Amino acid sequence: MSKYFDETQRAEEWLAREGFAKRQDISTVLENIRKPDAVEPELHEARLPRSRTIHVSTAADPSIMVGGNDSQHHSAEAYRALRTRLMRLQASKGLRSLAISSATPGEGKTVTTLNLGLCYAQLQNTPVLLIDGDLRSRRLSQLLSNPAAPGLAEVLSGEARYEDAILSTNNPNLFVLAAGSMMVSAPELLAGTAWKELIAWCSESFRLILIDTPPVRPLADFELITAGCDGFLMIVRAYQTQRESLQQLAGQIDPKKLVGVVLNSTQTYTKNGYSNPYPHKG
Amino acid sequence: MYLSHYGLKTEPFQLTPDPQFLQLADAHRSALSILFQGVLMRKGFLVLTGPIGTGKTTILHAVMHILNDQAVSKAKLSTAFVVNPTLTRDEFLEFILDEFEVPCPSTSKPRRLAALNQMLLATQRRGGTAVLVIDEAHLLSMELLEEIRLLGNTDTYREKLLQVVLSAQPELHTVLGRKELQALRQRVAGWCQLRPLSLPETRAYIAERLHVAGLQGSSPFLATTVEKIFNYSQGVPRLINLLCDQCLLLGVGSQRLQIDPHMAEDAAVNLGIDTELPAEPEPIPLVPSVAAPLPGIRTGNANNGNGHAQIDGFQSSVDMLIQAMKQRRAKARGQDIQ
Repeated sequence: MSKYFDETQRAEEWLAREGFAKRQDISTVLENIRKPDAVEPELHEARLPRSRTIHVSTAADPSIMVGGNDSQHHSAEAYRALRTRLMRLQASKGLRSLAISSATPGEGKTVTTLNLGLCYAQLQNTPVLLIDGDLRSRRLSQLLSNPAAPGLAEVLSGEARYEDAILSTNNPNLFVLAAGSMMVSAPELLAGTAWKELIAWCSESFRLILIDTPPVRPLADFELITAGCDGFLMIVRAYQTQRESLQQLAGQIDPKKLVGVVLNSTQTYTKNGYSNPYPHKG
Repeated sequence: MYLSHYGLKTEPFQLTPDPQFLQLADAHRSALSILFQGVLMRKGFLVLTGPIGTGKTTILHAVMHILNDQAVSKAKLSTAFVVNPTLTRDEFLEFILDEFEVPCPSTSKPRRLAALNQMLLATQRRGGTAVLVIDEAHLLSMELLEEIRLLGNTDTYREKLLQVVLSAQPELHTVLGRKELQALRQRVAGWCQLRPLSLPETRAYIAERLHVAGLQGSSPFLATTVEKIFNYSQGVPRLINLLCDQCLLLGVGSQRLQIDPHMAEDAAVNLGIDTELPAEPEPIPLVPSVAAPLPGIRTGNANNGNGHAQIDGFQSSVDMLIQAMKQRRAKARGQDIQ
């Protein structure tokens, strides 16, 4: 009987012979299936046929991980862990749009938004959109070398169409909606229905929408932005964020929409005693 | 019917499980991945559960489609698809042999089992594997579950010869939790659960379907309309399909290209599912989950709620969906139905 059994081929041998990787991602398989007769572009491609392309580089800030999965970068592993948690949350709760904010300015929202977006965009078939929702400081747009208008301000005030304002990047899965150049009053624009309609439209074609959001405390923008989103992430900078401001924050935010907290800039020492931002979600 | 009105090539919201229209929300993607990997790696038992209308059968068809026609075209898979599992042990075995196309002139059980075993070994020897898919597995009797476990026992030293995919409503979890079925429960190598879609997933679902159906330009559904559809359907894909299809029909009737929220309301009324999430929790009828009526079976009093004339089978399916929705709402409020 054992002799009989031994003639069977093991799964690995069989799959290897058929040209299959042992752990094949379902996205790759689906991609292969669609390709033969897939003259049709994906939904987001069809909707953004002539988007302008910008180049994401480390020029503005060395902490940007252009490669997304760049193993050289100390915090790459932490971002991947954050991505995994986020994907699990998406699988159980079906979230698409996430605002990223913090209690006070300067805690690392923008870099986290950009790096998380880059990291997520490394996955196959996962178009990611970054929105610079901070119409006052426009940090995300600065990090991306201030792409020319139109941007969010123009879209919300009805001056530009979505497809003209959303930019593609040198990463095929990463898309950006910069702040734009119009000088506008942020709360008025964000309070209108245009903001919710924009998020609704984006939820249709992007698997993840990350919105760089002004800090919660001094401004009204945060509440207006999160009203249209499925959830938000809070960034807390180690050794900097004050306990009091976090306590005040806790009373201000909607706990149902709080997806998680990222502890940023914890000190991790390498051989050279080098410290680096090390986000950790808890 | 309405295709040319909206500039579509095919009907976007058909109810048949068509792999072509596979729109994968995250839960569905992960289920598809687990089943696909599980069968290819010959893991033995795999379980797929999900509430009514969330797309279990669609996922099963998609997995079979991917495994059979496209991805492993050269590797020979033998598949048996059991859609109605209310059979006796002997009937079940006979049915499987038929599905696997195993010729067996004898009707004695040992002969039949031997023939099945031969086929399983032969399949594995030439590279490939055999898959037994059982839809509606929550309807399986205890003795059939035991029979299936014994069938799944056939293996080589290292790998399973028969891959069994059980697809069922969430009740199966309770059934498999029984002490008598511990042996089967322990053999399950992969569990996947489907859930209704969230609002953004509903948006993506509708947009993607229209896109695949050939829609050029903007969606006829306004953002607020999709919200309405989500409220009526509670994110259950089958109900979303029904509502959207009805909305598109209404749009043609009134010669309009945009579907506003009122039309979604009309569609819900037409379908008899106009019970949008009530502001006040309504009293929950006690529904013993085991005694839930089967789709397509007349329940006698299925039509007394609203005055719309409906086809009985359809109405009772819709009733079931509504019941499921109510149960889920009650669950969300932390109430116990049982």
